[in-house]
Amino acid sequence: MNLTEDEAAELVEILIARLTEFNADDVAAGIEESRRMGVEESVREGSPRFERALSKADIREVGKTRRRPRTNSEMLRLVIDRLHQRLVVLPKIAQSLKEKLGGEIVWRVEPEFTSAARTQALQADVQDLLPSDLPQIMAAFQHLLELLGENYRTGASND
Amino acid sequence: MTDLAKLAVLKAAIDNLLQLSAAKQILTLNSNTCERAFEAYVFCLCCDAVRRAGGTVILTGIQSGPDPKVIAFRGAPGSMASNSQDFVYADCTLNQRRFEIHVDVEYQGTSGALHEIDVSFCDHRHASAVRSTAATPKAIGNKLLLAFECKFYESSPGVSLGRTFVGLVSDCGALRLKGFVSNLPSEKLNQYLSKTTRPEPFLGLNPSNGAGEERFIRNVEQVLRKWA
Repeated sequence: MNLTEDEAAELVEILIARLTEFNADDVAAGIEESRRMGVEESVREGSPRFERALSKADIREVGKTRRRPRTNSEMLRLVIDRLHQRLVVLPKIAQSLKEKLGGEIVWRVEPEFTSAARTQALQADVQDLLPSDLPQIMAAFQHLLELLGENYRTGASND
Repeated sequence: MTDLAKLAVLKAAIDNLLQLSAAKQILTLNSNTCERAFEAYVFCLCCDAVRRAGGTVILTGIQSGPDPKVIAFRGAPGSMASNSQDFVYADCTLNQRRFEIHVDVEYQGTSGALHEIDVSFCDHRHASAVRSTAATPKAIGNKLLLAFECKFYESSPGVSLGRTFVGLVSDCGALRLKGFVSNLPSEKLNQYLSKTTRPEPFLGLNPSNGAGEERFIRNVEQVLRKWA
């Protein structure tokens, strides 16, 4: 499916609004951080702005890497990529841990170094990463990818 | 399909995905849990590398000993000697060498500063001395053998964490392997780590990337074979 920049912007807005609605704060913050970082790209010497430079010597002196904002399509690719990491890759990591280690896998803290309030955030069980309706997530994510088409395949964001 | 219809279909697919309770559960996990899971995954790959090199690996709880029923990783970096929980490590033997693989423990650098290392290989004799004295392992040659920084990126990988790890390993002795491991690939991080003295990059490592896993395991295996 070919999307215009406006359509891509609308979908990004919807996705971020949904993530914010149900407090997926870290995922939303990661996306915003990526937006802030933009895209690093090389500047071509033949571009018009280089023609306006004072001299060849001046051109040689300047750094040729610069940061530009992401386009809306690039932002959409990035959001889809981050959803893929959380919804597909993370459960696969948890499955891999279960296969390789067996048994019950947990994360625990040293109580003397952690406040009671923080303990809950730091302790976890591998099952937290493996909800029961995981196959439905995979199917729904795959369906979204198929609708978006080849341009939005995972791993396509420009990092 | 009109543009409006096309967008409506996509919006419905997004809602269908994000309204699943499982999706909400995973998306609302805090980043710390993702980071710790990724470190444990790298720990498992390191154990695979030891076995591949012909060694043995025994998961050991600091309180309960070999083959603990519950495998407890640290939820935050801490002391190797801490027994406030039954924290797990891998007790490994390869030829005449005995060493341990730890997750999220602190080492004392050559400057005396303490450094948190996500996944580390430590000489067994040294680790035993640390446990019996409640002291800190040293990040010097023959004590700290391999060190990995692990990062489950939620934002675009920048060079800042790579730069921090370069600083950390410069305060360690001569490591047999120092690696920077992340779930996402990154051209700029790869470029930053490309200088020969810098940590080896293993970027885009995850269970969907069989070739990446194989490269990581093979590198660790080769280093261990050469050493042991």
